[in-house]
Amino acid sequence: MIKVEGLTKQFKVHKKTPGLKGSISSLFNREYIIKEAIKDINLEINQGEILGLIGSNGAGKTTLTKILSGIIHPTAGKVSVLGFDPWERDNRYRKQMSLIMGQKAQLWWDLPAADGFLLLKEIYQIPDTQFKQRLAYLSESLGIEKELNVQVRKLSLGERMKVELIAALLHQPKVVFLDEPTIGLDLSAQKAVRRFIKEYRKEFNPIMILTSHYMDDIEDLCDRIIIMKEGEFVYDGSIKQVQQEYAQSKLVTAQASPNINVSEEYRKFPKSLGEIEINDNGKITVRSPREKVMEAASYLIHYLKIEDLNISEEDIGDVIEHIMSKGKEA
Amino acid sequence: MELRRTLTYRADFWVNFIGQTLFSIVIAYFLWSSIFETLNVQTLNGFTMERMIVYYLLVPLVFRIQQGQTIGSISREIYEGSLNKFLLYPINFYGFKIITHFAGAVFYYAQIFVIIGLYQVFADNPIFEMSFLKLFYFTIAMLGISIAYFCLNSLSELVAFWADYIWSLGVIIRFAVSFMGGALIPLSFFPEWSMKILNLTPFPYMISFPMKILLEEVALKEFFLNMTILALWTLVFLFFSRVLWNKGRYRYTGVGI
Repeated sequence: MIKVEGLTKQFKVHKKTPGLKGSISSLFNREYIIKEAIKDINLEINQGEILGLIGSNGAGKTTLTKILSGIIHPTAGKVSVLGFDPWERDNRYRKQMSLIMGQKAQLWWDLPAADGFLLLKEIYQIPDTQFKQRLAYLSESLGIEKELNVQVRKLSLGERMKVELIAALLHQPKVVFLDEPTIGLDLSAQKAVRRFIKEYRKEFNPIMILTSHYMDDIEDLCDRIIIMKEGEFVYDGSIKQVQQEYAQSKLVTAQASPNINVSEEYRKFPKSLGEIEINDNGKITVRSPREKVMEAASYLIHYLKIEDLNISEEDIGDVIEHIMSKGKEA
Repeated sequence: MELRRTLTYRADFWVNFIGQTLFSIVIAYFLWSSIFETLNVQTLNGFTMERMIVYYLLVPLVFRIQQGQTIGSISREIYEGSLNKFLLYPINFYGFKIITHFAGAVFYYAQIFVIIGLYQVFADNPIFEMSFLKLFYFTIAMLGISIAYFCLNSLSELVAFWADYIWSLGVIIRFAVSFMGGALIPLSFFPEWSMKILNLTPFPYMISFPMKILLEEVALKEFFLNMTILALWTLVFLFFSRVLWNKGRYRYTGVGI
């Protein structure tokens, strides 16, 4: 279990005036500003939960991850992860947690991943049999068996991410922090990583905290999301709840019959039923208020002689963007 | 891991193994033969030309054993944020770094004995003889010196918690050790008054002392005394390193992720 109370983190950052004059004056006199990366947040996460942390750059997501993993020290507040204070860096805690950084390699760049795994086996004191079993399971699940003996620096980005995942999960941690695990990966690699994370979670039931700018990661993996803005939590709940509470519209998409006069029907569509878009191929999209969606669908069926119809929730990314822009008042 | 990493790049390994030694010999030969010729002497401060060449053949290797492979890595890891992985692993960071440091030293240790072996075989009248006692003293001394240098250097590298980028401080430390240790010029060329001051520092024990073990005979009493002084300095470096580490980690921001 993770428990956070009144957590605050401030950074003292050097503020430099641009230009050569600013560089010279900073040799003798420096101006500092205090940046509040996290402001008095509270959080509880239970075993088996996978939490998505969303926010724009600088919102405080990675700072929170670093504090929970023990890399940096909070300015104020209490943190408890599996009963440990991460800052104390107790080995009993470190043996049960893992941080996977999409933007930073942890394996030794000049050596094959297999060599790195052997060192991690010793570091985490994994017995031989279990090490072989886990390595076989992880490498087969990720389809990366053949690349384990290639220098890490010579692997593609997707392959590198997969071996990093193996390195981070060899010791079967109970808490896994995933900091942008799919960043820079192509679509098939992203899907493979997501599929793997889901299977791993189902098998081993760890706490997972995922930070990602890709909505597909969040939608596919997370039970619960927290939206951060300027160091504060502006939303904490499930994705379904986000849509129900904040998505004011639904999308009705349909394929119009080839016989209809597109521009005329566009003009005649009642504005009270929502905003309509019709493209050159006859694809109709209506963004309709929740309470009017059935009426809008009926209108389309009756007047536009549609051949196909689909009703869906508004894009979750748009909803979250709206919440982020409004902050706590949303 | 560090041994494997060193062996990964073959070209770099062989250039390092052969090139640096040759480079050092060539410079020493031209420099000192010109000095001896100008002064028209056979011996200078106890050094003949041959002894001088042997000194400059071995001293860079002694210096490299002492330095290992990890010099600069702690400050770079603090600056780049790659220190993060060591904070996540259930290991003692210092212990890990010292072992990695030794791994880098192993090759230079092997190299010095290859060079000594070749010298003993091909020299008409070698100016020194190797024995098991010398080998024992030298190995123990280099172990102690390697630890001492690591502790001194890491002390300077931990300043990166405050100053971010401190490459020049590392260069100053390396220069101070090599100059005041006798790697650039043998300490017998230093004025007597300066040697009284230098003997209070750890530097002569880091280079000049192991060279003396190789090229001369060192009594047990002298060996024991010098190693004790070095051990005391190591404890001082360790103490201050601990202080800097404990204060510095509060400032660490883990940049780069």
